[in-house]
Amino acid sequence: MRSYLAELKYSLHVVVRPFDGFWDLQREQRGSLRAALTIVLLTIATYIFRRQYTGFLFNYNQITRLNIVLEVISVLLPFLLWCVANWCLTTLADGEGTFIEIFNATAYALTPIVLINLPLIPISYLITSEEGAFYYFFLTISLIWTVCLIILSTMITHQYSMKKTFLTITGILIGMAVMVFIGLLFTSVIQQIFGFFYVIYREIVFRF
Amino acid sequence: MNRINIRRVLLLVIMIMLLDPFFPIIKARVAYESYTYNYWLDPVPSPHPYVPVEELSGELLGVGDFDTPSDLFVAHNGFIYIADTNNNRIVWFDQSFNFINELQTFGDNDSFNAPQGVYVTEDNHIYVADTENRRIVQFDQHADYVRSFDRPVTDLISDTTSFRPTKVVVDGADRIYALAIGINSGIVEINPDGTFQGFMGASEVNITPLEYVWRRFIATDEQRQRMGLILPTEYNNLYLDNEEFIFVTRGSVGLSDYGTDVIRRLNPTGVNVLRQFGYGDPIGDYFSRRNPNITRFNDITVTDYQVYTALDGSNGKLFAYDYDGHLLYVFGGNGNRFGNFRSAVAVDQYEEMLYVLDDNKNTITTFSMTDYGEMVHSAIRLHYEGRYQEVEQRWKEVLKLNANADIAYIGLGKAQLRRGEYQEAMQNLELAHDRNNYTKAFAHYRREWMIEHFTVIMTTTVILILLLLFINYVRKLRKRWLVKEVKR
Repeated sequence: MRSYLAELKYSLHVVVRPFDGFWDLQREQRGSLRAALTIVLLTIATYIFRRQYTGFLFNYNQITRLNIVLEVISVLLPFLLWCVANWCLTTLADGEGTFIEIFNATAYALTPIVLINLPLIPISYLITSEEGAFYYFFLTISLIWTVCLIILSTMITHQYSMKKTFLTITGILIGMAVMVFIGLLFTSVIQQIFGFFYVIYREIVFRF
Repeated sequence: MNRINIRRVLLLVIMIMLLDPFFPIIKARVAYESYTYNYWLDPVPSPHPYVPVEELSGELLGVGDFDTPSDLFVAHNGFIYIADTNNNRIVWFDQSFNFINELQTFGDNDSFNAPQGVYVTEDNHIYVADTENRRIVQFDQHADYVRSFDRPVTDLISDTTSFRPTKVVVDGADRIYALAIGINSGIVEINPDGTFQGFMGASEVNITPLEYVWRRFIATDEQRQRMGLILPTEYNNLYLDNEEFIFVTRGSVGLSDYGTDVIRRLNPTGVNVLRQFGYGDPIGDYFSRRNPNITRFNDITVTDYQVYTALDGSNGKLFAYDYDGHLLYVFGGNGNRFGNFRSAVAVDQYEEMLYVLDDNKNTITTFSMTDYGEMVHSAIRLHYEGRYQEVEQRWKEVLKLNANADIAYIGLGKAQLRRGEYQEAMQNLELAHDRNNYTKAFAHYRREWMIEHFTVIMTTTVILILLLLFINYVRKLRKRWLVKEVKR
C-alpha cells in the first residue's frame, strides 16, 4: 500500500515521463483515485484562484460577478464529459481502460495546469504589461502540455495506435457535443413540462 | 413649560402644512436621465451635465412658427442661424435670441426651395444648402447674394443623379464641402472658384463574407435581380472643427451595422483619424437586450478642445466624447415633457449653452451646462492646453460630485503619474481599468521599490545562499561520517 502523498507525488513523474507514467499508473497501480480526485479539486481551486487573485494587469474578469458555482462547473463539466464520452466510445472500440482508469489518467494529465498556473498568480503582481509575454507564454505552455498529456493518456490507457487515438479523440469531442445537446434539450423539455403543469395549477387555483 | 413647547411645535407644524402649497420647493427635476458607461459597458448614472433652460418656438421668438427646420448653426460670434426648411428661409438671432435678420428673397426676386443646411464662415459669409433648388448659395456679411454653386461638372456623378445638397461647411481657404442626397461616394469638395475638386472620405461598403458568397455564387439571376444593391452608407451630417478636420456622422445604420464606426474625423486627405481609446468605440449606446434601439446620429458639434457631442435623433440623446474617445456623459431623451425631444435634428453649442433643434416640435431647446458639466469640460480643456498642474484639482472636484466618473480617475491617475506619485496613480488607474497607464506607473513604482530595498534584498539573497551551502556541507560531513561507521 502506497501512501497518499506518494500517489500524489507520482503525478510529477507522469507529467515528465508520460509514456512510462500512464502505463505504470494503470498497470502498476502507482496512482490512485483519491489522488486523482485531489488533482481535479486542485485544478478547480487553481481556476478560482486565478480568476479572483490574478494581478490587475492580467485579470480581465469582473470580480464582483465571480460565481464560484459556475467556476466549478466550468472545470468539472468538461472534465466529466470527457471521461464519460471517452469511456462510452472506447468500450465499443476495443479500449482496455475501465472508467476509473480513464478518470485517473485524465486527472493526472491536468497536473501541468496546477503546476504552472498557481505560481503564475503571485508572479502576475510583479510584472508589467510589456513582460506579460512571458506570462501568456507560460499560460499557453501549460495548456499545450495538458492537451498533449490527455492525448497520450488516451493512447496509453487503451493501448491504441497514434492514428486510432486521434480518430477516437475526434469521436470523443463529437460525443461531448452530442451529450451537451441532449442535456440542453432535456432541460428545456423539463422546463416546458414544469411550466405546463404550473400553468394548470395556477388556473385551478384561480378558479376555486 | 413642557406643554407650551408641544403646543408651539404643533402650531408650527400646522402652519408649515398650511403654507406649504404657497412655497413650493423648487426641485431640479429634469425630464431625462444622464449616464455614462463603465469599463464593462454597463450604464452608470451620472449627474446631469446639462439642464434644459427654454424651449423656444418661432412664435415665441417673434418670427412666426418654424416649419420643419432642419439645421441649426452657431457662428463664431454666437449668432444662431436656423435653416427653416418648409418656410423657405434662413433666420438668425444673437446669443440672447434677439431676432437679427432673415433671408427669404434675394438677388433678382430669387428665393430658396426647402433649404436644409446653413453655414457661416469666420468673416460672416453665409452658405446655404438650397436643397430643392439643387444649389449652394453664398451671401456676404450684409446678407447680400454673392453667387451660387450648381451641380458640379464631373463624370463621377451619374447623369441621372441630381445634386441636392443637404449640409455644407466651408474651410479657411473657402473650399466648400457638401453632402448631397443620393451621392454616396463621400463628401463633395468644391474649389473656391466653383470647380469640382473631388470626393472625400468615401464610406466603404460593408458586406459579410457569407453574404458575398451567397450573392456572388449561389443566388440565381432572378434572385439577384430582386435583391437590393449594396450601397455604402451616406454621411448625414458634417462639422468642421477648429483644426479644419471634418467630423462626419453616419446615421442610416441598421441593426446589422451595429458596432461600425458612425462618427469619423476626416483629415484633409479623407482618412479617418478619430482616436478610439475609450472603453468602447464612440458608437452611442452599447447594445443591450433591454434597449434594442440602436443609436443613429444625425448631427455633431465639436468644441475647441476636441470634445464632441453627437445627437442621436432617433432616441433624442446626446453623447459627448473627449479627444481620446472616452465617453463623458449621455443625456437627453424623447418624450413630451419640458426638455424632451420628439425629433431632434440638429445640435450646436456656444460656450456654456447647447442648442438642439426639433423638427417635429418646431422648437429650439436650449440647455445650459451644470457645475458638473463645467468641471468636466474645464478639466479636459486644461489637459488639451497642457496645463497639467491645474487639471488634477479639477478632476478631484469632479470626483466629489460623481465618484463613478471613470474619466476623472484616468485624468487624475495620468496627472499623478506625471508628477511621480506612482502609488496613488496606480490606485486611480486601477479604479478606471486603464491598464496602459497603470503598467507605466507600475514599472516606475517597481523600480523605485527595488532601489529603496536593494540592501535588504541583496542581504537576504546572500544569507540564503550561504545557508544552503552550509546545509550542503553539513550533509556531506554526515555522509562521510556514516560511511566511516559502516566501514568500521
